[in-house]
Amino acid sequence: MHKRRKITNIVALVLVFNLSFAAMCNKEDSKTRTLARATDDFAEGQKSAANLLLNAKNSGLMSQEDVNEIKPFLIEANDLNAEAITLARDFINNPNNLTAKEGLISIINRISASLVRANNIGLVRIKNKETQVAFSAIIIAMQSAVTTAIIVLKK
Amino acid sequence: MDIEKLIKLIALVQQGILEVNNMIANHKAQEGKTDIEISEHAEKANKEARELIDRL
Repeated sequence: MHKRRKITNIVALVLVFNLSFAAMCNKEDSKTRTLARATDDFAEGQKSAANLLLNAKNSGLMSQEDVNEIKPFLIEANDLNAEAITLARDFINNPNNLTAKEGLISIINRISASLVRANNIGLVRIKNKETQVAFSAIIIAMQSAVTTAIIVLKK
Repeated sequence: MDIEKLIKLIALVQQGILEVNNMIANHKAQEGKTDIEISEHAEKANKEARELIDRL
């Protein structure tokens, strides 16, 4: 019962962030602008996550071994975002490009799955509680950018 | 929910708000830019992120 309540709180938190961020981004922007911003937000989020882990490693809060467990998921998400940026640019140049649109939806879904894996391994490998909370919050913010992109593409 | 868990949840919300604020600031900095220029900024930021990840 206690565990269920904890999960409910986290799910509610993710939903609140997703909805507020999606609402904020979609207020006046066009589809292409929202997409361009989502890929940029995601890249900036990755910089925040990498800086956080670098600081944690350099200050001795995390071992290299723990960092090495999280790193592949960040690399995967980074590679996928590079693909998403290329496809988003095709879509910006031609919003009727259905191939780019479908490709983007597929890649964004993979980015989302990659973020979930990064967060799961982060919860295990980041022992310092403050760093763990900050890492999860950055992941939630990046998931919000991903959700925004999906909402825009599915509209 | 005990106090310790409540404090953790508040910290998570605060950090999340900080991240969203960073994104809002990023959006403001992009005002007046074209979609392609934002996309180019995303590409540059993604490369910078990769450099940081590689240093991990």
